[in-house]
Order: sequence, then structure tokens, then C-alpha cells
Amino acid sequence: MSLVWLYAVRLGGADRPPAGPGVDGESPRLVVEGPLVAVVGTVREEEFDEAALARAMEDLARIERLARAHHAVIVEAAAAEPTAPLRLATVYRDDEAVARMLRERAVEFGAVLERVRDRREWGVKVYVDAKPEAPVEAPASSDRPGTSYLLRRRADRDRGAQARERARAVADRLDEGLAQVAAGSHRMKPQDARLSGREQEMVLNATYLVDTDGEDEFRAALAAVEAEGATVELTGPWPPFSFATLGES
Amino acid sequence: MPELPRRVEAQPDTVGRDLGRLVLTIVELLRQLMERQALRRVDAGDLPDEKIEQLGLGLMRLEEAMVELREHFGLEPGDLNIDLGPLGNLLGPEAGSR
Amino acid sequence: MTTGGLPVPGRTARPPEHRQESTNLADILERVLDKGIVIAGDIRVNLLDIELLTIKIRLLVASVDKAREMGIDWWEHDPSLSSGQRDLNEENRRLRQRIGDLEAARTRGELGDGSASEAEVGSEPESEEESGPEPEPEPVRRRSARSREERG
Repeated sequence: MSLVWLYAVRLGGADRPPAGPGVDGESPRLVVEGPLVAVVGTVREEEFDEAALARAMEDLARIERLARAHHAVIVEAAAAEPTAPLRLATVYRDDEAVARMLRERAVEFGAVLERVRDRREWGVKVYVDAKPEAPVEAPASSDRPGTSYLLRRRADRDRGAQARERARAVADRLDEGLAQVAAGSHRMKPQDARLSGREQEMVLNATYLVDTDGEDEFRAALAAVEAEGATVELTGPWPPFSFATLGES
Repeated sequence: MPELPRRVEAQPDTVGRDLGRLVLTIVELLRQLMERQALRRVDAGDLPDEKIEQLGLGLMRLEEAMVELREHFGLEPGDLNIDLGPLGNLLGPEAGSR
Repeated sequence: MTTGGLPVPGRTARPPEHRQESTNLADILERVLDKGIVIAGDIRVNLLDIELLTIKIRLLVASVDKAREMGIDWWEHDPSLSSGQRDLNEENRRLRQRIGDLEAARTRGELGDGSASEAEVGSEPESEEESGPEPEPEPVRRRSARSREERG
């Protein structure tokens, strides 16, 4: 038995399936329903039913393979037409179920696809030196060591809070500036330093939906951020993962 | 949570260290809570100087004791931190670097 | 997918130095797990959310190096799992609702979709498999902070 894994839904391109390979090593196919074209793959049921996927989510290596394959097919699928990526692990029994879903949600898909038409998603991470300034070493007064301990601790606490507050303010300001030259913006949680592998602290992890003919302006805004001394990391272009959500409040 | 006992069994050589780590993490959390509460009292300004000194001395000795215990188990300060996901780090973001 | 400067043709000024690297897994997961169109298939794949939650909850008691041995080290750093508490309550509410829906569906002997916000699409279920472990009502949220409303 096999199942149908859904990668993306796009407008048009009904004769050009992505080459793949997909999440199960398969060649992606298309399910066409009116103007909507779903990019799907036939996958083995024993590997992709609910229980198998639940197990897969326990396995980092498998998650990575799935996510990368899913992502790669979507990148390919989104090259030419407006495309709405689907979240990892959206699985149907058969093509008919996919087609029925496309019929039932045609209006929503239409709206989402229009929104991302001629736009691409760009990820922006901003790092700044957020090390709190060196503690002011108060001379340890030998007569009241307990008091000086507490005061030292209080200074640590306040410095930490101030540093966090500063970082937040920087992030808000940068995000605001970039959002002004974007069609949409979405803030994500700054990644842990262990992930980024950087000494500097990530203060902004955001992603923006940018008009393809507005990318110059967006780049100029990024350069302005860098001119202020921040380190900017740009990723993309991404298919509009963060801006093609439907059916959610 | 079935994992814990299974794991303890699986690696008998590290049982002491793992248990020590778990216990010390909880103790460190309590110590930090106490310290923060003490700082709040200091901020509020309603503590007489002698009380502040006593509080500070007590917390300072507690911290020294924690350092000794930690070293006894061969643990780094960052080892006593746990990522609580949405709740943040158990000991705050700065705990690992102190 | 490549990273780097925007491919703007004909620019003369030297672009800012952006870090070149292959797409990193965290960036991908931030997007493919959390974003994209969310539709329930006719298999209840949304249980994955809950599965992720149980992994996360397990991590709370697992010591860090043990978690690494289990191969789920990454989740420890999952940015979408370690977001601030801003809409924790909202997520709790959604989670409780989802759990309630799932239980109701199970009682009816159906494999319906558990989420009120997702469409129910699908044929008659055929799987008899037990659903995943019972989600625990811990205040753990999966999604990162809601996307700010898109501007105009």
C-alpha cells in the first residue's frame, strides 16, 4: 500500500513535475484540479503512516532527511509559479483525497497564492555584541562581606536585564525598518548560540516576504543595518513558507 | 517517564554523577530563587543593615558550598542548567557562562 | 537553495558581507515544521505535534547528554520550542482543545482531525493503530510566536 505525500500547491505548471527525489526517494508527481496543481509523491505506507511518522520524529537523522527532501522538492516546485509550501508530513490516502481537498479549499488557496505571487521569502538574522560590560569590581569590604556579595549580585542581575532589554530594542527597531520594505514579516525566536556557532548574540531571527522587484530596496535596508555595526546573515530566497499559511486563525 | 530508570540501569558507571547532577540542579534552582528574593528585599529597602549582611553571608556560603559539591561531582556550572523549552533555561541564560 | 546576497543584477556597490553557508537544518525546520499551509490529511498527521510535545516533555527529565544519546539533541535547541511565554496561554488553550477533540474523536471510533482550525478532509479511516502517547497537559507550546499580522 502507498500513501500520497503533499509538498506544495501551485498555480500552473501542470506539465512540469519537479525532478526530486522526494522524501521516499520517489519522483514527485502532480495532481491537477482546475488551476491548482498539487505537487505530491507516492510514498510507502509502512514508512509514512501515522505511527511510522511518529517514530520518525524521534530520530533526528530521519527528521533531517525528511525535512531536506521536502524542502528541496518545494524549492524546485516553486521556481516558476506562485507556490504555497505545505508543512512537513501532510499525507493523504490517495490522489482523489488530494483533489477533493483542492476543490474544497480552492478559494483559500487562490488568496494565499495571490499573496505570494512575484514575492520571495528572505530570512534575516542579526547578531550584535551583546556581552554585558565588565562588572565594576567593587572593593570587597572585609567588614561586611555579606553585604558586598549581595550588592555584587544585584549589579550582575541589573546588567543582565539591561543587556537583554537593549538587544530587544535593537531587534525591534531593525525589524521595523525591514518590515517597511517588505510585503510581510514574521519574527522567529532567536536561535541558540550553540546552533549559530557564533560568539555574537542573535538578536533578530526574522523572515520577510519581499517583492521580487523590491529586493534592491530590501538589500539597501539590510546594508543600513550592517552599517550600524551589526552582523547580518541573509538566507534565501525561500519558497514562501512563512507566508502561505491557510486555515489558521 | 519511563526513560529515567532505564537509563540509570543502562549506565551504572555514571549513575552517581547523573543523580548528583539532577539533585544539584534542583538545589541550585532553589538557591537562585532565594538569592533573587533576597535581592528583591534589598531593593525594597525594608531590611536593616544587619539583616542584609546576614542574608548575604548565608547566600555567599551556600554558593561556596555549591561550588564544592559541583566540583566533587566533576560538573561545570553549565551542567546544572536545563532547557525548559518555552519556559526558558532553568537557571537563566547566563547560568552557563558564569 | 543558496544563501548569500540578493541576486540583484547590475549592482555596482560592493554588497554587504553576508555569511555564505549551505542551508542549515534549523532554518529549514523552522519553516517546514512550523509554517507552510496546514491542512489535515486523511491520516491524522497532526498527531505529530503532540509527538513533538512528548519528546520535549521527556527532555525535561532527561539529562542533557542522555538526550544527545537518544539522538534528539537538536530539539533541545529547537527555536520553535523555546520561544518566550508571550502566547503560552493561547497555545495551552489550543492544545487542550486539540486534546479534547482527539479524545472525542477516539471515543467515536473515528480518526478525525483533532484540530478545530484545520480542515477535515478525507476518506474513511482504515488504520486501527493506537494513537501516539497521551499528550501531557504541560504548558509546553510547539509553535513559535504567531506571525505578526502581515502589513497592508
